[in-house]
Amino acid sequence: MIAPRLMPCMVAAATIALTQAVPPTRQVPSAPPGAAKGVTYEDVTRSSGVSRFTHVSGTAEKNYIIEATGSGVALWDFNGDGRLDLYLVNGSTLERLRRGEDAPSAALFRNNGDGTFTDVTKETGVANGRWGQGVCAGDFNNDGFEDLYVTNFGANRLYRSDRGERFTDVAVAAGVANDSWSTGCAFGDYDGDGWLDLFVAGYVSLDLKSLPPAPGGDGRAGAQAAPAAAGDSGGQRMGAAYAPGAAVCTYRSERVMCGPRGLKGAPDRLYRNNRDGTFTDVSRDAGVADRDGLYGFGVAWFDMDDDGRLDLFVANDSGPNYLYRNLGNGRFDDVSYPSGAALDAQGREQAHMGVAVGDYDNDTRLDLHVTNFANDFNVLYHNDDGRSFTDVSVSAGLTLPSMPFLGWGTDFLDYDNDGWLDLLVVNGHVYPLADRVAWNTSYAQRALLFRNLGGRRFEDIGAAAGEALTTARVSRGSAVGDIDNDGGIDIAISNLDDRPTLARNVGGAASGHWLTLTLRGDPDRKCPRDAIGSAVFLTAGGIVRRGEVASGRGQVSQSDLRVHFGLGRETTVSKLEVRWANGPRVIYPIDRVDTFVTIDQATGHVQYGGTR
Amino acid sequence: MSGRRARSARGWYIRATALLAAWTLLAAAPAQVRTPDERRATNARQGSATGWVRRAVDALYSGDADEALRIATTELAHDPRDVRAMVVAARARLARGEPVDAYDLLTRALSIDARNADVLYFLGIVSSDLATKELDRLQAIAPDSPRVHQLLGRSLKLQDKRADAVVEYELALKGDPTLVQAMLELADIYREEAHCTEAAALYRRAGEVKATYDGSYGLGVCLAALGDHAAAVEEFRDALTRDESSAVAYFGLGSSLLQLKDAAGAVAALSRAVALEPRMRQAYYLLGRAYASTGQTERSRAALARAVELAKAERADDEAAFTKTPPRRVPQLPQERR
Repeated sequence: MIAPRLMPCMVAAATIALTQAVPPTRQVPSAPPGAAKGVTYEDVTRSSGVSRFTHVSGTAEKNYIIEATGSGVALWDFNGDGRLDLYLVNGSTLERLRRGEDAPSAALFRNNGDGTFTDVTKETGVANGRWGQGVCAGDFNNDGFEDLYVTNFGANRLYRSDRGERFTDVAVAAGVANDSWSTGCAFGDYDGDGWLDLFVAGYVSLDLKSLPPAPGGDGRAGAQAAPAAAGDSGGQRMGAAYAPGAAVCTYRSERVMCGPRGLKGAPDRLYRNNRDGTFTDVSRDAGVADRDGLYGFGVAWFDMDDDGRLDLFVANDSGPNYLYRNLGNGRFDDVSYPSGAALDAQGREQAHMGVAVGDYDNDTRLDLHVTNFANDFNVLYHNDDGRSFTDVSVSAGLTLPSMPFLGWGTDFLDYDNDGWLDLLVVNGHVYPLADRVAWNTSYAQRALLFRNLGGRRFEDIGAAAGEALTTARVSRGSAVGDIDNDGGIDIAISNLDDRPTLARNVGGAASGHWLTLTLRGDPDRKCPRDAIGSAVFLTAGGIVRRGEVASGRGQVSQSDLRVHFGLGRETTVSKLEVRWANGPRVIYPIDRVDTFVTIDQATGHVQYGGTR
Repeated sequence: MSGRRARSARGWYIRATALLAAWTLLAAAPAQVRTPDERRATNARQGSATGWVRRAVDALYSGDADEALRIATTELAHDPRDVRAMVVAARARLARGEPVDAYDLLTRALSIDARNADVLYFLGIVSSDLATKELDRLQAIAPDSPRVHQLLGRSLKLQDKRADAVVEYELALKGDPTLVQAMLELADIYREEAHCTEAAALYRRAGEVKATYDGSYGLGVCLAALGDHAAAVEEFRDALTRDESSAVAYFGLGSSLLQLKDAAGAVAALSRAVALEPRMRQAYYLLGRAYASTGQTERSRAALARAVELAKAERADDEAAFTKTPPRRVPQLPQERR
């Protein structure tokens, strides 16, 4: 109950909030008492050398939706030296496409192990040269080296690793080029044969010769071709809808770029690994071919019901999410609506972007966090029983803080190693116009780092996150992992038309104990070599924590394939159980913490030390 | 007029002028679909389909509204139902400071082509301009009237100028702290901008002056958003005592009951919601969830299937809007009352 004497103050505060010049997306609240002491993020973008990369995505005006979706980022050890390297997908411009020129190069930065990175894009052959969108890693040929899949506006790339030294694009030969507009991707062995399959989300079927009208009415392409008609999304929670033939698209009465709603969706693809370097498109047979023509973004393979089979989640922009339950016979059951993970608690469709998967409340079941458009909140879906999800965003304290933000990348990470998964969201509007109108938001927006308060609520730690995260940027993809192998989880962010952000965790390793695992699967036992799809259950202090080896996720990005656990004050692991992909649960002895451990399924060997 | 309002009015004029300029190139595109015969006839008359439009727009660009009006009037003499000519004429009238004439032209155009974006867009501009002028005149007559501030607030809110609207509502409430409608409208803005705590306080304050459906419903929505579903249920029930035909109040009630794990109660409320508003897909979705919670699998399946069906129809409507059939939209929830 609100005390009446406080009411005028609160209303005055709201008045100030609505009429002030600086929107909340650019303000940095002071650190709350609950923020972990001494843990923050340091911006090492320049000192690391990765600031040499600048992302390119169309014009500053963002006349077309292709210019606004941005690109993903991967933290992944390409050469097997135990250090996470950084891959930054790049965009392009319509002018370049029309002139038939290559897109600006993507960048692969090799981690030198001393806080610096070296650009090895040319010698490794992963420049892409197409309008890049997403990225995911997986050892699809089980040769012990991680391969890379890059999605594009145009044909995708499957970069096969040649012993971690060079890469060869084998997408066409492998049958996974998919010349469309692809966004999220993820490797996962859905059919349990020990070979990684591949799911690729489709966004919009966009024809450059017949673009929807630009907000500036620039007289080119679609603007001249379109007869007068209008589409307005009618709401503020999604991008401006397009009506076929429309001459204008509006959002909050302002002319903006069109879409995605009203544009034709691009289909999703599931590629089954043929175990010979090629794949077969089984989307329709498997029942995951995007039958409603929705706009796919974030993708996640995860075992929602712990039946040992990977299920599939697709975050769809401006529509309901897809959740497909793996039936184990090569087919999936569309349980999107019955599961509760398609819509929010009010049954509303949202403009979903990225997806994070993690067991935030340590009940051993995997929960979902999905980012959304501005004037809407990001949704936390609690996994109730393996079949049903409940939107707990309100009780978790995530609704009001996220409303002014337009969220993209999201990741669960234990930034302070207290044993509870925290939550990262990187943000940025799609309309540059947001800076020129009173929408209570902004184009560039700070990231949000929420600390997990015991598995029940999350709290924005504001200034405690450090300038690396509180500086407003137009962010899109994000990836998390221990870049410097010090036990603290670092962050890489892809920023639209800008340099990336490399944020080093400071103090996390000292704040709590930790353990990081590398799993080596045994394909002879039907587990992919890099163990993607395997789950780890770690018991310490009477609490069971769950981690996984996962490809893709977030906003079209790839995070560390190693499994990291924060342990808080616990110095003893009472039980460590690995549920190998497609295999049995095996318990391994762990006799120390604050270290890296490699477990080999084939030999049963547990190796301490090192970083892999 | 308050200083902020004056700035806002100037800003509006500048913005309208800028948009007017930005619109000119779009206006060069065909403004409406015509039959081939009509197009041929027009082409034969003018040499090119868009020649006169360009000349008129050029005239507008160069500040010669009279010439633009002359060109458009000539076209209208040839074809009195030419919507493009009406739009150009309206723009010229607007530039000449004749918004009432512009309004008349645009409403006439709208009666011919109800989905024409140009017409709708400029009608919005002209209407806002007229509303602002009328309200300014009203304020000149009664400069300190809380009611006028409230009306100004409402007008600004409709123009999506929320920050300015908030200032006007505050002025209204400063003049008359018991102005219930101003409290409710201000609370609605706060609620829509996710300042639910503040909105709830205002709804309560309004309720102390006079209990209304809007106050109870708004408070229920806010309390639900804040996670206090037990209190929200009370407010939705109170709202329903004031208007038992409110589908959205039944929806809110059902939603909160579902959150409170009262699945049977949720089924009852949501069933009432869909009976009142058969196209409320959100209610069908929650009804499906509620049925599932009570173990009624088949009913759950049917309700969810209906929700999916309505969502698809709504998407199809969105695509068909302005081109094929009139849109069939389900109500926006939870802001609008049905």
